[in-house]
Amino acid sequence: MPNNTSDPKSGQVIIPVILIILILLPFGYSLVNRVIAQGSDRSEAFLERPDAKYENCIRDTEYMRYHHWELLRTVRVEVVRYGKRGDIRLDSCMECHPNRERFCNRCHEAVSLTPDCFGCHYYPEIFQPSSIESVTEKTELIPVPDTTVVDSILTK
Amino acid sequence: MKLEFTRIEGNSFEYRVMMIVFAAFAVAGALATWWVIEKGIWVTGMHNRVPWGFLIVMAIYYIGLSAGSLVISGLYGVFGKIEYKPFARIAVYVAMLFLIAGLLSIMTDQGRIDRFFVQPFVFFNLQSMFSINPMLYIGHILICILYLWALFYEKKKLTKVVATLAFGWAFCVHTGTGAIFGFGARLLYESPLLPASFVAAAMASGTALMILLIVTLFKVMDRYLDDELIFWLGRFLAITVIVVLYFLFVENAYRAYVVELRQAAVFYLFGGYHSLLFWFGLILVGLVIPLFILFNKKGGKSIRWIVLASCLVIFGVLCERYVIVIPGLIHPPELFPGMEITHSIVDEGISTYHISFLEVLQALGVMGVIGFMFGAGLKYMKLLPTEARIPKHPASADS
Amino acid sequence: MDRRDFIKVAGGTVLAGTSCTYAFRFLTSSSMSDAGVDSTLAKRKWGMVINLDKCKEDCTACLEACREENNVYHDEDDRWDINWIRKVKIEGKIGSATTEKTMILLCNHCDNPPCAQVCPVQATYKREDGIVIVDHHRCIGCRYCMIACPYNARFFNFKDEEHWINPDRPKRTHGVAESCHLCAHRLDAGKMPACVEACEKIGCGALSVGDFNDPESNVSKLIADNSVKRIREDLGTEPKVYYIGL
Repeated sequence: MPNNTSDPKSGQVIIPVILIILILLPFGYSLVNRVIAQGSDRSEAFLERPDAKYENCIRDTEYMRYHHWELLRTVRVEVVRYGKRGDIRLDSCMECHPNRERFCNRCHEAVSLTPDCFGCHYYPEIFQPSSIESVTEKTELIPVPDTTVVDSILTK
Repeated sequence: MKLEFTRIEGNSFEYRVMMIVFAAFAVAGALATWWVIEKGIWVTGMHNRVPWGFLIVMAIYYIGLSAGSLVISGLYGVFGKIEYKPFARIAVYVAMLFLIAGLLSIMTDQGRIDRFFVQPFVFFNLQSMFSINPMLYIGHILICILYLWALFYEKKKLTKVVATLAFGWAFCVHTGTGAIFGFGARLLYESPLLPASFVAAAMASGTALMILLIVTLFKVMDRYLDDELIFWLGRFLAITVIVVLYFLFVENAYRAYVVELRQAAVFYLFGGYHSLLFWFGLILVGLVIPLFILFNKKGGKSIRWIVLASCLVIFGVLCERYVIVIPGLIHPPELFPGMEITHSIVDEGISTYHISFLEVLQALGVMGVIGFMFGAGLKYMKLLPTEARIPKHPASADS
Repeated sequence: MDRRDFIKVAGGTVLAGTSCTYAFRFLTSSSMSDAGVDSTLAKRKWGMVINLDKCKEDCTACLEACREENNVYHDEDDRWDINWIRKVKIEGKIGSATTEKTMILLCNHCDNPPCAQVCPVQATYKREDGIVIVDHHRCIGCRYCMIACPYNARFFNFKDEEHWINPDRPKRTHGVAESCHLCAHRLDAGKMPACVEACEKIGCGALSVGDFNDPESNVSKLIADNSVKRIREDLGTEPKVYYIGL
């Protein structure tokens, strides 16, 4: 059948091209996503300031921003496998950062991560409205640090 | 006379229809799997008393099928039977595909597929049969790829070495798969004979599959196939079928003989739908009738009859896989010997299991994936020879 | 570049890439899993003693307490219902007399746990204090442990739990296996498991949990003073749940 015998050269070109497009697709997708995301309302404050009970978190802000998952994972191994229950808990994050949508999801979405912590661990996506108001009010104020609590956590 | 391997054109109507059907199966299976992941495994009908279902049956069935095809290729690679060289390549390719199918079936059966690619290889547990097996499977797939490479480039020494390695490794793979059940805690699983009988059934089903595939392919492509080759394979199939029967007899005789297992044996042999499958599907249709065909003077010398026997054996071994997995699960573990649980909030007695539509779709999807790969392999790789005849002077064919 | 060269290069790249990934994972994970071996756990050996004579026939206080404490999934259909503790009635014949007993069944926290032996990812394991526990972060949902368990004590999360009864404790998403963990979080904090507390609250006191390594503990005394039995001792799993009056 002459119709079916395609030009061998065109086949040799098309297959690599399709492959390259497939490989580049995720990169292009995230690139476009990023550009769109930067154009949208994310140009505001990326993450909200914490509900300031403590001046600092249990580690430096820089460390917490980029390595909090390592800390959480280490703690997870210690708690689940060795029964060492210290003060660092996922629940205690909630005390300062009551709003998961603003605190966790924005950043995770921007770097397209979907950690499945919250399928099992309680961390409400949208906090009660009253608390949100109090949060926005408090972020304007300069909070008084409760150093005793922080020290007790850091020394553990 | 030189043995020449060629690709197929892949332009015929039938080929395209086959590929489209396989692709449709694959898509349907993928959709079914997505649905199962999304909803949870309960949609497949598995429950707390029967946590393994049809996909595990299919997984061990696929893995078994890969064994026999490797045996066919081992006839040339290990034992130096030069007349089986024409089938060496396709046999290794099919062996590899069915191992991939087995892995795919196991993978789609997991509760958390997202973790399946990382955790078993990072936190492996060498005490667990289920942890050793994926390593064996992946090793086997890699060895098959190396074997194929050696065959394609006609590297004789490497072929011999890799073929022997693959042969030994295949035995480990199938023993390991049988050991998942044989070393388990369930009353009807626990049997040191199970890995051995698993290997035997694997050889029977794989040989039958290769007979079916080779005859069909050579017929469809209009290439010459020497009947004597198939007759010999038919006799080999008959021997493996006898071995399977023997193992089944010993295993069930043991269960019926030992007092503490007698109850379970009665349940296994006369206790429900699986007993029907055992007696009619496996023993009668799957093993005895093929034996009659293959040992019959007329049947053993007729390609049609041998192909029919192969089909029956393939079906019979599927039933065998089913009666390995399911009855052992629906028969409950005995918590209080000599006593009976009369009332409970969960199902404590003999449980029930039905194959669900979704599981069949998933199994078909796996079939579609490897069928598609098989078709693509025929088109892009030189898997089949232009003709398969017994050489008059064995040395000349190899040159 | 012809097709063969292309396949060689592509295959080599894929192989190198995957092996590098796995090398990286092996290296990082080995340092992770040895995070800190605690020796305080090893001193204890938790176990349970159940006094069946004190247990009331129709009481379900421990079952409900367990559900509320651990967010155990409940389904109307008992095929997918999860019961870390369950009550059964057993009937046996001694001579011509029929005896009937109400039993409480739960994970036996075996010393040789078959479920932990067969777990391909070491998600189920025996803690140093003898509690058999599931790491739900690691479980892949292969359900081999349910098949290996001779006590029917392990369950699988076939569906997602919608309700969050106790927000302090995690629930489970579908696709992981689980069983009683003897309220390890409470024992670590120095409290008794929820079922034991509930049983004491209603005044039965049939359940008691304690340290078998300590000869002065409540459970050690109970075992010494009464005749105790375990379920299927012949299997060699060495269960740590003892029954009085079985």
